[in-house]
Amino acid sequence: MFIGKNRERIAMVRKKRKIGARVFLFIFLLSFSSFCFGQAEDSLYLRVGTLLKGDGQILKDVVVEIRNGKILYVGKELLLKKGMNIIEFKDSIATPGFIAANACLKATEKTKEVDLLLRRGRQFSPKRVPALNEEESESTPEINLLHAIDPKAEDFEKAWRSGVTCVYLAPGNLNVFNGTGTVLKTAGKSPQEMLVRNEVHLKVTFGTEPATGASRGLQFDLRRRRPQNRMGITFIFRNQLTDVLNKNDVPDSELNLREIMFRRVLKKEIPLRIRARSYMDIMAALRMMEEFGYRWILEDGADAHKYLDDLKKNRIPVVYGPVYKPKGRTDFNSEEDSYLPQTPLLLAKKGILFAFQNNEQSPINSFRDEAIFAVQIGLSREAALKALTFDAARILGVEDRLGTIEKGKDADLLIFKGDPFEPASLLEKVIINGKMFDPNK
Amino acid sequence: MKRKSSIFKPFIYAFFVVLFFPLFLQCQIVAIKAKRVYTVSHGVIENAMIFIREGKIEDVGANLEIPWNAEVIDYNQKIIVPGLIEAHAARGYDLANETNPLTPFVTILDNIDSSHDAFKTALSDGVTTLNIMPGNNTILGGRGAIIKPVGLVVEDMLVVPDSGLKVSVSGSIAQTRMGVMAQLRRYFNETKEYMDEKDKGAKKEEEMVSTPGFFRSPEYVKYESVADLIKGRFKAFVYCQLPSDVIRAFELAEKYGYQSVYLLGPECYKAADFIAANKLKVILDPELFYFEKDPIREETKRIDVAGVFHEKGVDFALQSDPNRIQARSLFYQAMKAMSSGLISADEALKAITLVPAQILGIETLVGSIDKGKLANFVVLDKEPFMTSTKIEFVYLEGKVAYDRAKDEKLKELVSEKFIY
Repeated sequence: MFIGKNRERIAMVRKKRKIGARVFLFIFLLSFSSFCFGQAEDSLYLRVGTLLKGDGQILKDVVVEIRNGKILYVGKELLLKKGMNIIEFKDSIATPGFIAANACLKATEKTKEVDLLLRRGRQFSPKRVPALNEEESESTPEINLLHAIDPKAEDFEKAWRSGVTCVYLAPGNLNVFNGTGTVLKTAGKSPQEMLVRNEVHLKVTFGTEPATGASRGLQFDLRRRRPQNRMGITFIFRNQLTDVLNKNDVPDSELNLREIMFRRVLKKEIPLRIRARSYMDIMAALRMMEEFGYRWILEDGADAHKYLDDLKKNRIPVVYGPVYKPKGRTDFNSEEDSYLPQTPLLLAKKGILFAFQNNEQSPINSFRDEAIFAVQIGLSREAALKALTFDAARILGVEDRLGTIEKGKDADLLIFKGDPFEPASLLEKVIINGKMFDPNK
Repeated sequence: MKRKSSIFKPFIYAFFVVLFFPLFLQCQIVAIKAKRVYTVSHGVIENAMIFIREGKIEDVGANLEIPWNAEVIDYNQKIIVPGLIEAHAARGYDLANETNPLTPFVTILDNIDSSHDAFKTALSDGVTTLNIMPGNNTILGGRGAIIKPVGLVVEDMLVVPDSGLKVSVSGSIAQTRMGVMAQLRRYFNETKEYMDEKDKGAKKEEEMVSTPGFFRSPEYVKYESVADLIKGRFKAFVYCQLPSDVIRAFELAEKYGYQSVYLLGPECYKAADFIAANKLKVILDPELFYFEKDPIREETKRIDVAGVFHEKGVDFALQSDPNRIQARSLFYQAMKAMSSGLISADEALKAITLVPAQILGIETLVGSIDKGKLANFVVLDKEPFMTSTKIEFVYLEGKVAYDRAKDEKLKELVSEKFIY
């Protein structure tokens, strides 16, 4: 009996062990399979013939491992595991995704279109501008573009199909303080998914644009009390910032959103993005910088070539574009007439940080063509690629996530069949957040 | 005796030389050597030579003997392609469209501004022949003209005065497509009636032809352009925005018996089968990539328009639009068309040289580097269709019309003088 009991006990223990072993095996298999499937789901391995890193480095015959939307590994060798599916692009060139440091696109399908009278005193053919203009006041620094983004807008798809994986979007140009801009990926299901960083720069417009429409409309129209000219614009700018300077002792809790935004500007927490086309406006921005001491970035600097030394001295980055401007018969009276296609070349020579932008005359799907044109004029390919990727990311303050193909950064890659600055070379694949898209379908 | 002859001999030779010297000058041949010549019509010739006499190409080949009186220009490492041809260009003037939608009697010659920047740009982009046309917004827009981009006045620039009549079936500013078609049919019917009447009274025509310009009878002014079109003196250049417009325009051309060239909008790739079956002559839109949005699924497709036509076997001409960066010159358009990998470099070159010449009906004059054609060609420093390729010289009728080293616009751009 005793022995029998003992045997039973031994058998019980064995049974338990067996069950334990089985459970262990089951868990092991489960974890292994989940590991395998997980790998199949969000991991991507690419072997690329040439990899242009974005900051000037060129690597040959490289393997890139992408997992969960991030770059996990860039290098020559990778431990080959069974079932690892490497996608071969041996004859192709990979670059980081292009970044439009200021994009003009229809971010909303139901965008309010505004007639812009570009030429002074003359009824010029009105241009339908697909920009989001908030006309509640001349100063709306508290508004943010993120709330008006439609992720299904056609222009986003046009953007990534032509290689632009990331854009900076800001409200329109028709008031002095326009609002804060947003850095977005061009593919995603919701604005939150597309978002890279919000409230990047506070956009300010100098020049004649905030004064357009000043003499139109009814007497009680909001447009009636707009600034009429550069004096009025400068007055509004100084007035708004001085008001907040005078409230230095007041705590944040007692300020409204607008004033908090200005305080952040004066504390240099958020840079100003000043849209200044004419040399007069660049001058005004430099003058005001001495007075208030903000950080700023020059946008759409048509006359930037006239102030290269000042821009270099004060370390002001420039967002320039479009590079190509067809000229017919001009009366040299418009702000756009002094555009110089060589500006990118001069900025690069001088060592000023610059990036490309597009505007209403050059659609986002021609972004690469702009850079190609700059290369044809004389900009080196390395500088052009840097301006499209790494420098643009630096200007936008997102160089920790975007701009180069490096470990830990977002997996935004373009794969070209040939040199990216040859118009005849095809954009084969676009990878945004680790997801591969075919732009030619 | 011996002494006399020895004294006079050199004088006699000198006399003959002086006598025939103008003749030698007249037979002056320019021989141009180049590394490679793309003739377009008969392939590529390595280490080729082109002989030019009196503005025309006398001979082209690899192993030719240089005539003793030839002036030799050696473009050692350079490459020559034919002068480019813009089959349809709505530029070189201020306004493209008349406000009246039915103006077949106007001619673009009155509109061309010979000192317009567009012509300088065209020349520096390698374009040697342009077909200038009225804009797309008028139903019967007027007559176009084929010109070269060099000359102080329009008369100097002229190659062919009446290249065609501009027609648009795609609706003008305030009209539907059915309204446009009804107007066109009415106009053609009236013209036919006018032609029948004119055949009855042949005397009247003589009168009319002898009276110049404004003093002609109003009927003459109103219907003569369309009558010329029906008689086949020139072609209609029909702008079709949508694929269905192509079929309407084709029906109209069949009914009234005139030849037409179709200027396609970007969406017209959908009518590619119809175009291939009827062998229509087409000029593609400057926008070579069409983004089409599915309204239900909200997905966008990117369609390579030139690739679609290539696969259907349609010979197409490309046109450029200097106002759009993605289509700013013909070379750039060709590169863009090549980007999908379907169209080879040779075919792309053909689409900007020989095919436009055939469409315009001037293939005996220009379009390729062949014996007897005008000596219009472009000298490039590298292979064509690269970003770094530069246009060094443009030859127009045997003379250098554009020299990169002397390009003032380019100098202005590069020099430091203009930079503050």
